[in-house]
Amino acid sequence: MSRLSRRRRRLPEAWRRPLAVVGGVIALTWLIVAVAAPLLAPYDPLAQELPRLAPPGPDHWFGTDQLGRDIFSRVLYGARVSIPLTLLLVVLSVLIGGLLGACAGYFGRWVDETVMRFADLVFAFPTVILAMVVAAALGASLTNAVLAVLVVAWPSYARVTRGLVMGMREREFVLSGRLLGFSAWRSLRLDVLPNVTGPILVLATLDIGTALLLLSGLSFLGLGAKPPSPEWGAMVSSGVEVFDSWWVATFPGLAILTVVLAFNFLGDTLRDALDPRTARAIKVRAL
Amino acid sequence: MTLLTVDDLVVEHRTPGRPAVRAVAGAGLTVSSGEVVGLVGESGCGKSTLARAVCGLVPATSGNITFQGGPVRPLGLRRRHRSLLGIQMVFQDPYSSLNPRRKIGAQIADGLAVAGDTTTTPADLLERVGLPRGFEGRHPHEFSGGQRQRIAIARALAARPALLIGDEPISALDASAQAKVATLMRELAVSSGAGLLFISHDLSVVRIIADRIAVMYLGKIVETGPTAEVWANPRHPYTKALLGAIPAADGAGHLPAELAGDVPDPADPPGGCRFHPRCPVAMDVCRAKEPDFTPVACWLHEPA
Ligand SMILES: Nc1ncnc2c1ncn2[C@@H]1O[C@H](COP(=O)(O)OP(=O)(O)O)[C@@H](O)[C@H]1O
Ligand SMILES: [Mg+2]
Repeated sequence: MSRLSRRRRRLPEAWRRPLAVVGGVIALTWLIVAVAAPLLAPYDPLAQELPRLAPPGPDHWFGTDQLGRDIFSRVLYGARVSIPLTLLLVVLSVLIGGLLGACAGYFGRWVDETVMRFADLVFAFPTVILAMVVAAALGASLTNAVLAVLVVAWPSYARVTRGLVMGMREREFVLSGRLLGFSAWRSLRLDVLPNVTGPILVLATLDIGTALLLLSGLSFLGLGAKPPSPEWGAMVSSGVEVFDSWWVATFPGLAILTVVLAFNFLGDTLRDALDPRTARAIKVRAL
Repeated sequence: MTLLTVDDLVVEHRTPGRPAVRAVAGAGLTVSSGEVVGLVGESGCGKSTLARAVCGLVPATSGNITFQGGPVRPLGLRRRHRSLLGIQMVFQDPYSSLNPRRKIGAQIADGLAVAGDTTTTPADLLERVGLPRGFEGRHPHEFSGGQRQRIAIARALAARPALLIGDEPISALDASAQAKVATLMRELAVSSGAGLLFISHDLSVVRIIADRIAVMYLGKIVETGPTAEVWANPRHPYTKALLGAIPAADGAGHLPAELAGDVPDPADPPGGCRFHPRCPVAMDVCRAKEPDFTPVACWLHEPA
C-alpha cells in the first residue's frame, strides 16, 4: 500500500466530499492571491492611465473602470484588504465573545446577567441595520466598519461559548479538578476551555464568509473603505454607477461571492465532522 | 477514629418551575479511618447526591456533615478549603472522569500537588493501580473504561485523601473488571489508612469489599451494620428484598419483580414509612408514622 493511499484513508469522511474540496481549494487560492498580489497583478491597482471602461479582453481580463484602472489587478489587490481584515475581525470576535461567554457560563450570577443582557441587546436589532448605525455613528472608515461588525458579531460567540461552558462545567473531570483544589480560573483554563474550542472554531469558520459580506456591505454603502482603495464592496458600489459596463461591478462581486461560499463549505464540513449534539449547539447563530 | 459523620442530612434539588426533589431526606452515616463502608440502594435513591454533598459539590439543605472534626462547606467559586482536600472522589462514568485534552500523567500530577508530594511520580501511581509505567504521556482516549477508572483512582489517591469516595466507580465496567477495580480500591484505601465510602447498587461486590453496609431507600438510610451480619441476618424488609434479588440482579439498579412497584417519586414521598407501599409486612403504624431510629429504621425493629 502506498503512503498516499494510506493517508487518504485516514482523512475523515466529511473531508472527502466534493464541497469540502471545492471550498478548500477556493479559500487557499484566495489566501495565496492575498499574499502574492504584487507578483500576480499585471497593473498598478491605483494607476489611472488606461483606456476608460474598456470591456474584458486579452489586455484587461476583467476590463477597466471609469477612471482607467485595471479591474483584474484591483480585484487581486482587494484580497489584501478584505481577507486579512475579515480574519482579524473574526479572531477578535472569537476572543471577545468567547471570553465573555465563557465567564458568563462558568461564573454565572451577575457576570452571566450582565454579559447576556448586552448580548441580547445586540440580538434585538437586525444585524445589518445595527452595523450600519454603529458604522455611521463612528464615522465612515474601514477601521470603523471593522469595529461596527465586531459589535454585532461577538454576541453569537458569547452565547454559544456560554452554553458549551455550562454543559462542560458539570462534567466529572471538571468537578474532579475542583475537588483537587483548582481555582475557578485554573479550572476554566485547563479543564473547560480546551474542551470547547472545537465547536467555536467551526463557528468562526462559518462566520468568515458572513463577516466579509457585512464588511464589504458597509463599504458598498459608503460606510467603510474610501474610493481609491481596491476594496471589493467599494468597487461594486462604484460599478453600480456605470451600470452599462457590467464588468466593473460583477468581478469584485464574484470575488466576494466565492470567498463567502468557500468558507461556508468549509464550515459546514467542519460542523459535520463534530458530534451531532455540539453541531446543534452552534447552529443557533445570529449573523 | 470517626472520620466522617453525616447527621440528619437533607439535600434538595431545586429546578425552577418544578417541586423541589428531596433526594436525601434525613440520612445519617459515619465512616472511620481504615474502614470501608458500602452504601447500597436502587438507582435514584439519593446515593450520588449524598456523596456529592459530602464532597461539598451540592449544598446541604439542612443537617450536618463533619469531616475530621470540621464542617464541610459547599464548594463555590473559590478554591476548595485546604481542610477539605482530604476528601476525594472517583466518579461513575469512566468516559467523563478524565480530561480528554490532557495527558494522564499531568492529571495524576494534579493530585500529587495537593499532597505536596515531590518524591512520588505519576508513574509510581500508575504502577500502584496496576498499569504499566511509561503511560503518563498518553491521553485518556487511548485507554479502556476499566483503565480509565484506575487512572481516576490513581489521581484521587495521589492527593493522599483521608476519605475516598467511589460513586459507583465500577458500574460502567464489564463484569471481569468490576471486582478487580473494586478490590483494588479497597486495598489502596485501607493500606494508606484512609476511609472508603463505596457506593454501589450491586450488593455482591459490596459484600466482598465492605466492612460495613448502609442500605439507602428513598433518601434515608434504612439499615446499617457489619457486612457479615447484615448479609446473614438482614432485618429491614427492604434489605431482605435487596438480598433476595441478588441472583437475578440485572445490573441496572432495579429490583426484579419480587419487590412490587417502582421507587416512588422523591419529590412526593409516601407518608409514614417511606417503604410501606412496597413492603410485604406493612402494618398500620407504618402508614401513620415514620420510623426514625437506627440501626434499622423499621417498626418491626423498634429499639426497646
Ligand atoms: N441535579 C439534579 N436536579 C434535579 N434532580 C436531581 C438532580 N440530581 C439528582 N436528582 C434526583 O434526585 C434523586 C436522587 O438522585 P441520585 O442522588 O443521583 O440517586 P442515585 O445516585 O442513588 O441513583 C433522583 O430522583 C434524581 O432524579
Ligand atoms: Mg448515582
